[in-house]
Amino acid sequence: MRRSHMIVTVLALLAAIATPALAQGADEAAWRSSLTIGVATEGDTFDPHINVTSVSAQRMHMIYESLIQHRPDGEFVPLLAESWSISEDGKHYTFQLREGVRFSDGAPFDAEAIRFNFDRLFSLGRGPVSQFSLIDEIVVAGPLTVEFVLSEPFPPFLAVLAGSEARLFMSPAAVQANATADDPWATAWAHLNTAGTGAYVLAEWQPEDRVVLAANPNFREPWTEDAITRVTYRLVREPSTSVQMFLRGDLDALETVPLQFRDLLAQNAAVRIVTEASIGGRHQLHVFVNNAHPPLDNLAFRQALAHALDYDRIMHDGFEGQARQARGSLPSSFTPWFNPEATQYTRDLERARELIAASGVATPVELQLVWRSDFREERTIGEIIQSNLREIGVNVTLVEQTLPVWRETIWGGNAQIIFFTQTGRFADPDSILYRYYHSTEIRPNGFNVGYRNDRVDQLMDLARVELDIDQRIAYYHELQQIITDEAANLFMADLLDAFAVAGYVEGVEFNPNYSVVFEAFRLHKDPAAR
Amino acid sequence: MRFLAFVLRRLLLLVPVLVLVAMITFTASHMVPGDPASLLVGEGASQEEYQAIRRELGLDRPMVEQAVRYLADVAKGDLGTSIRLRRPVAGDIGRFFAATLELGFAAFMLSMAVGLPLGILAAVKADRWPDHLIRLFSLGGVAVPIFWSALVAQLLLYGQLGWLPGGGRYAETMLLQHPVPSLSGLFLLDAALSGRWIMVADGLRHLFLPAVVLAYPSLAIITRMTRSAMLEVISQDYIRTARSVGFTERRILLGPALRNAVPTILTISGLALGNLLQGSILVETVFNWPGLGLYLYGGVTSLDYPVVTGVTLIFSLNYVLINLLVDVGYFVADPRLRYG
Repeated sequence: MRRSHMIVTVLALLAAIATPALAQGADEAAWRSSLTIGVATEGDTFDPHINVTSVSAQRMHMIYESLIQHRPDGEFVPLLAESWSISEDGKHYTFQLREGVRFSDGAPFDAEAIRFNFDRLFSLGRGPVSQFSLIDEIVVAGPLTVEFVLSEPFPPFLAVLAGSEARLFMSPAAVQANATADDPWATAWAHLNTAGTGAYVLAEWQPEDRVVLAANPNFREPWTEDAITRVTYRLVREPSTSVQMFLRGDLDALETVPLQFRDLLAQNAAVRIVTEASIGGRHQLHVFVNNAHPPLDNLAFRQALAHALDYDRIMHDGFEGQARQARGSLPSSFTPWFNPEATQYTRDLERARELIAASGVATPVELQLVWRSDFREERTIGEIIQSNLREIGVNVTLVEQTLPVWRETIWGGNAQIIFFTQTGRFADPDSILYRYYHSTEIRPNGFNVGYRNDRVDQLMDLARVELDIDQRIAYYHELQQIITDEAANLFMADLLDAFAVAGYVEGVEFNPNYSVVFEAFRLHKDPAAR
Repeated sequence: MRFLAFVLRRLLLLVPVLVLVAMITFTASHMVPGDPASLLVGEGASQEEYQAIRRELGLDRPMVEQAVRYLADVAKGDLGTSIRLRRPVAGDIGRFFAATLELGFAAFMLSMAVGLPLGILAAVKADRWPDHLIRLFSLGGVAVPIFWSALVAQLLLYGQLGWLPGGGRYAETMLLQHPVPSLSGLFLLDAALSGRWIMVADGLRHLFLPAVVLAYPSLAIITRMTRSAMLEVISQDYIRTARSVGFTERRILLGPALRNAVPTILTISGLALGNLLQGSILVETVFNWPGLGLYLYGGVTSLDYPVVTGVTLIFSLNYVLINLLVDVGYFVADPRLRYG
């Protein structure tokens, strides 16, 4: 190639790269109708009947719906069902379905479709099936009337049906059309395709890149001119990249705000950050204490540990202000179940030393504190705990473990004190407390690391079948008081979710009963605020 | 004939090399504590759910059985199914490979197109200011970690100045207006073949920054080694002879000098091309380039054995083929090897 040709080629390439017109992007209508959300994790399936991850549930939230859902204050409100009733014995739940609802393929949503979906769920025996194990029978009482018959009363059942894992209903016609002899439930199809009643359908899934949802043409509500008809979940693994893309407008929202950038974004007037505690996903971080392991089986010793910790410093240095000190075993936003009168420990070294003396435990005491390698803040908090407890003669060794090893430590009953993030499957205290504090969960492969109290067991068993909500609240308040008085664990923090949206996105509402989800159908983008 | 026998022998050696790589990677990835089922189900899952996933994924089988089954499948071209994405790894590798090829090719061409002339210039102007400047520039390339230069370049040229895109292969909103059919998987080629020149330009804009960042370390090595090779060659007697019979400096440099430096340059270019694959993992992660590097990153962080082993096999295959190409290049470039 001649030198002059080479120069011209290089200049043309540079001109192409630098062309400012390209930087303008799409026209306004296209911009208004699309919502791009930056996410740090990727789901692994679009089949709600085999899904086990909260990330996949978040991606499917606008595709598949449940019969009812939680309002932000915890009240149940209609979704696919418009009303419901519960029998006096608490075993029969009857739902009247909304009229005129269709799946995205045009097939009608009705009671038979519900039974079909549960048949599929139980036949596959995977995913969220354990949540519905108390269902004895599903009765189609009419075209739009369905009754669930439980094997025993279970007041949290409404919370189960309102939870993320109950967003299940896919078109029977679509499943049947894609079934094969080897795959009668069309799992291969459902993994990569959707046919729900939600406002959106899966349009595209490019692994390690993006998930694109398009408007469901058969959605029951009309699409307005300024509606968002395309939602893109853009996977951005590098935190600094996602924040830059958000600030430059290439992302309209960030599903999670990296901790190290929260202050930077909070200072930006064009950004709205929502920081709150939710029930969905990880909601509290504690140091679980193996109450069966001496000297941790000594009440006064445990209380001494609780009084020795510098909670202010932990919140400030460990969580960088992105958590609130916990008051017991439920997050403070979880009303009405949270007990605001439960004991909250404060740092009191004198009291801690008195309790050590009263416990009869000889110091120094050696303890191992396990932290998880994927949560770096646990190391910082662990070091603070290490220095705090040294002051009362307790020497703590920090042990780092990956999630799989951490899990084996918990299940093997080998933990002494161990960082533990509480999660719940659905927004009911039973889902959160039973697995961590009922003595029957002290077993190989259970999550109770050694706490045992007969009265707490009794209260949880009573609450599980109590239909009167005020009485249930009273039971849970009492057992929270006992658990905190006994310092069953070192209660650390309510974890605050933080997501960010650009100022021009209107209508975003935080619902503490779910992990971060965007109801894009209810959102609008205002060009004037861009 | 001798040449063909050489190539055939090298290709046959590929098989035991790849088998060994597969066994080592499989073993190493399974030695990491825990298993991917744990990451998949999340921390709140019960033991029953965890065991169900392990059974479903075949992770409850003895490791030897898993290894034998895996090697047998690889021999048939089946690289297994991604534990995390539940999709055939071979298919995903095919999809991601095109993006890495595009980025890698652009970075390689940049590193050669810039590195060779800079190396020659540095040799010609040895110990003068152009040489010092070029050596300083190349020192940066070998000393600065690639993830650092990627983050800084992105912060400056995208975050602060907004001159270039911060990530991805194209602007999604542009693609919606000017769709590009997937013909070869190479976005720029597909856009050109379908006449979407505006998307060619958009693709180039997105490719530029990651390619430059990825090219920098290799470019630096090529510059330094070219300089060294040229300095050695231009001190030879035959160069003095060429000057004495009246050749111009330009003709000497681009003729006998460069030709005799080619074997060294070939070696370094082969190594540089191999290094591009390593660097691509970090560059693709920072710039969200959906290539093999990003795919591998996702596989490593989720203990997705089939993905890790599959991508490692591909990288190993690349290295071996690159080395073979370099050796073939020697045959072509050095007549002593052809006729000796």
